[in-house]
Amino acid sequence: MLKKLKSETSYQLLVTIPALVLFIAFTYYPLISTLRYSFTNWNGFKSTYDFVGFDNFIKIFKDQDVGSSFYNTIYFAVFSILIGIVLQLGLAVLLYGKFKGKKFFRAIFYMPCVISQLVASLTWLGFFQYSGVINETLVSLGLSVLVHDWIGNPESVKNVLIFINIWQWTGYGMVIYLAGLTAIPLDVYESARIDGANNIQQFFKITLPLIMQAVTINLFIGITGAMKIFDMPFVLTKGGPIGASKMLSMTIYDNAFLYQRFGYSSAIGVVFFLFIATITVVQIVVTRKREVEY
Amino acid sequence: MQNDRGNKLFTFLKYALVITGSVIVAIPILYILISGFKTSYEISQPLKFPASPNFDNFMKVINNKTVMFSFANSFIITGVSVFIDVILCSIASYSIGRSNKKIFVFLYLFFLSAMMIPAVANLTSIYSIIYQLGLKDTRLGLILVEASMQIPMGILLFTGFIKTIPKELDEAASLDGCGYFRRFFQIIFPLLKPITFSYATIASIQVWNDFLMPLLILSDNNKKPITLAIYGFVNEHGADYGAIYASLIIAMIPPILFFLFSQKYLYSGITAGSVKG
Amino acid sequence: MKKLVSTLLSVLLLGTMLLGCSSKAEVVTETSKAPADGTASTTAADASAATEPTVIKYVSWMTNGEDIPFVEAFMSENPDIIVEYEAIDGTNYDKLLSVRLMTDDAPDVFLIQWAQYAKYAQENYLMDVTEQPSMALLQANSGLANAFTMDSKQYGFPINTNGGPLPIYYNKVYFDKLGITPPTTLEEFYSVCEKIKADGVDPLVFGAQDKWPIEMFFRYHQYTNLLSEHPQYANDLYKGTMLPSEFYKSEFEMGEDLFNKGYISKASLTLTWPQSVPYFIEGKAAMLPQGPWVPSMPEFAELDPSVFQLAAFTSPATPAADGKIYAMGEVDRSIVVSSTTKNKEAALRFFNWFTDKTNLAKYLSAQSLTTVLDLEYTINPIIADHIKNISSDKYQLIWSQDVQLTPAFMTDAMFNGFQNLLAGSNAKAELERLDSEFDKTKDAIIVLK
Repeated sequence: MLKKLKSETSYQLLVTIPALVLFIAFTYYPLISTLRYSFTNWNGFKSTYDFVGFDNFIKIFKDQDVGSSFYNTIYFAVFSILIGIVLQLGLAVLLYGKFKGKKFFRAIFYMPCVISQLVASLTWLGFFQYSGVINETLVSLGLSVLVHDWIGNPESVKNVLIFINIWQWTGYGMVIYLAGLTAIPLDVYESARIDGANNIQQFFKITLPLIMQAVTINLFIGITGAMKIFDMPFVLTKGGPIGASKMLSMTIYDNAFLYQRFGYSSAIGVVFFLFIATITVVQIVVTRKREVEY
Repeated sequence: MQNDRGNKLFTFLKYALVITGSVIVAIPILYILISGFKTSYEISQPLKFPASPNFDNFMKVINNKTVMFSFANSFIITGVSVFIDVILCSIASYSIGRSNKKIFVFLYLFFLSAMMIPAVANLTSIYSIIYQLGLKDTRLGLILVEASMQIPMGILLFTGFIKTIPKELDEAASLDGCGYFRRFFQIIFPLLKPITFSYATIASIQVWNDFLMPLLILSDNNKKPITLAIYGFVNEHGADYGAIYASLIIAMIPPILFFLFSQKYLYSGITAGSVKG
Repeated sequence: MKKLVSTLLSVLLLGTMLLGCSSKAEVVTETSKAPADGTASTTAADASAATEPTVIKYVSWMTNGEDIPFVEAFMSENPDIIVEYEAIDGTNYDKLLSVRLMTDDAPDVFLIQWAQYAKYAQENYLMDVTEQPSMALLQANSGLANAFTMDSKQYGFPINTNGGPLPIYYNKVYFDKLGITPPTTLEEFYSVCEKIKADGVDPLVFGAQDKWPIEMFFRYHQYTNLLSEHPQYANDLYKGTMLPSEFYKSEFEMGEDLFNKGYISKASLTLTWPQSVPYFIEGKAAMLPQGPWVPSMPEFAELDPSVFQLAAFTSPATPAADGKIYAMGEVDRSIVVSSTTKNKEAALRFFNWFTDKTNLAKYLSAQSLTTVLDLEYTINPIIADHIKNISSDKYQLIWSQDVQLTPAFMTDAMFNGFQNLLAGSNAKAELERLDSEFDKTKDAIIVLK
């Protein structure tokens, strides 16, 4: 039997080739170009440019714009992920067990992720702008004292973005957790109950380890998604006010297309990638270790 | 008795939380739905309901040939790319998820690395590859690019869930004389239904709603997906918001239908009771 | 699994059938008013059966089909040329067009936004059109012609221009009610704002979320006194003989002043430009400073004249020492021919037809555009006075700078500056920020002459 499984390796390698080819041709090759440009001073359009070694990379660490947009991105990501995990897992657990109309509620929570980020952002803009639905409702309810410039105020704008992000993705994360929960055979819980474990013990000692795959996935999607966020702040505030909602992806975009420093922008992209890669590799190693195989 | 009251409180909280949450979640969606029935002027008045449900916007959209063709285009582009992705990613993940060999760990991270980069700056490179392969202004070119972009997510999801399928099944199947491919397609793949559908739903949404890649690759109006057809209602100094909302509503329907259709498979549970002991 | 496959198959079948119908539709002329219907290939072409018609590609950003009737008019007069028209979304226009130029996939004739002109000309993507007949019309306005001249040659033609202080739109009914006459000086303007504010209405509103509406208003104001002393201000900034914080000082201080006095609606910061129009129509704000395209907008078409009558006055500005008002003129759309076109003769014919006096006038009238060139076209009566005003000797328009500042500075830094003012910053901080932003973009400045 071992012999048969050993020659499997050639099959195993073979089947990864189609995905690999497609991936390299259309996704990876452009990334390599970006890496290459990060060592040049190309402005994105001229037919000539020079290689400048690591100059761009050094500039990054002196650039205030990069620094502040990096801070904004981390703030956004950390809160989105932390609050997100709690809500996603919580909802999944609540809507897994006995719950009237759980199919209906699952669908409702899932809906937002179906709407493109662009459309969702435009809709929320109509709610959060100073003359928008939220303020108008507050005024008509006699609560004008609560009226606030939600996205026009540098203090509150990031929190609004976090709210919208959570609104859009909680349902999807919940579905992944639900898929993980339904994969757990019910008899595992049976035996645990017989052994006298209560609900909370069951959750932490049985449920959580058995859905670690789902945790890995959601955490990874959450981290990479939050770090790369672009459409939402772009549409809602275009990075304002006073740069309070400018995310790193927008800095990359601006440098490439507005300041005409394509090479520099590519360098920022590379550094950012290395940063995210480090975090996610650590995340994956940690959570995969806790994954329990059947 | 204490337990009972505690339970009742807990149940009440449960329902209260979920219902409040759903209301917050649903409000913007309702807003989009209602806006589709408003006239342009009414749309600029967010709090008011339309005087009477106005179907003009929907008629405008349905009677617009270009928009209806773009609908078909969206179906084709999304359907084919996701189909390709499901097949390619699931079988590649079968190897990556099962084997402990270093090369597969490397491949896993290699695929995932692409998810960590904001894609905005890759336009010129992608266009030049498409152009050189003669795929400019073709739906095939767009399908290949879209499929390629969804691969990392597919590898991530499938690899994660392959692990929940017991290795014993593999061994049992090969003992029965199943070849590699038969083993995968007839036994393993059907068991992956929940994650296949989770992946298919999210990948199809990403492709269905993408406007940057179609904008880059396609020129012919008859090939454009619905995300671009919406631009037809936008002119330089304004837009026909009524028609745009109507198009958005129509565009939202297929992904929702697909999700509802997937419900059955999403929660089917992978191995409940299939292997004992 | 089976169900999945069968669903997908039926989708594919359905899709292919629909597309089968669509490819037949391509052959038939589509002159319907459907938006975004770009493939305007006409069967009138086989009227002249002798030679194969030449096909040229024309690209612009009028995604609502505004250019289509114009293109079709050309084709009906020139049956041996087929123009394949494509409209690319305006916000991504520069990126997408640049990508095509760089991959040697340029359209034969296309429109460009002003910021692209020098960039494309310098990289030799544009054909030299100095000798074309329509250029005589351009040469008649030396300032404008100078803007297009690089190395004594011209590579494009201006379709429409905007220039000088903006029209400020107001509701005549409301002004009459308060007994206000349109102001002609800045002092009068301020007192008008004060009257309106006292009535409990926001005097001014901007769609500042989109950034450009507010910057546009102040840009045409502001530095008129300095502009008369430094007509080549970009050169001065580039050489360092003048700092941005000096040059733009009065502009930003005016913005700060207007905001602090409460003359600018608080809603502006988060209001998009399309939303500022209904805000104005509903009377929440009394004045809307905007461009000449406003009167043709559908929102004004069916208003009750006893409640709302659209009118405009020229935004007042301070004259320079010589009594004239100096302001920057702005070319909006230009038409260019690709230097790598394989259909030179056909492309040039289209170019010349487009820029012919009669045809161009029709184009401008149809899309409610304005130009400073000597053409006879219909100007919307609401802004007729304003345009006449701007074209008079009282205004000195400066069309170009020998040194082209980067879009990053001209648009982004300036836009952000005004947005920040609305968000509570002050002029001093913004002017300082302007200086450091300018420093950052210095290396990308193009020296044209």
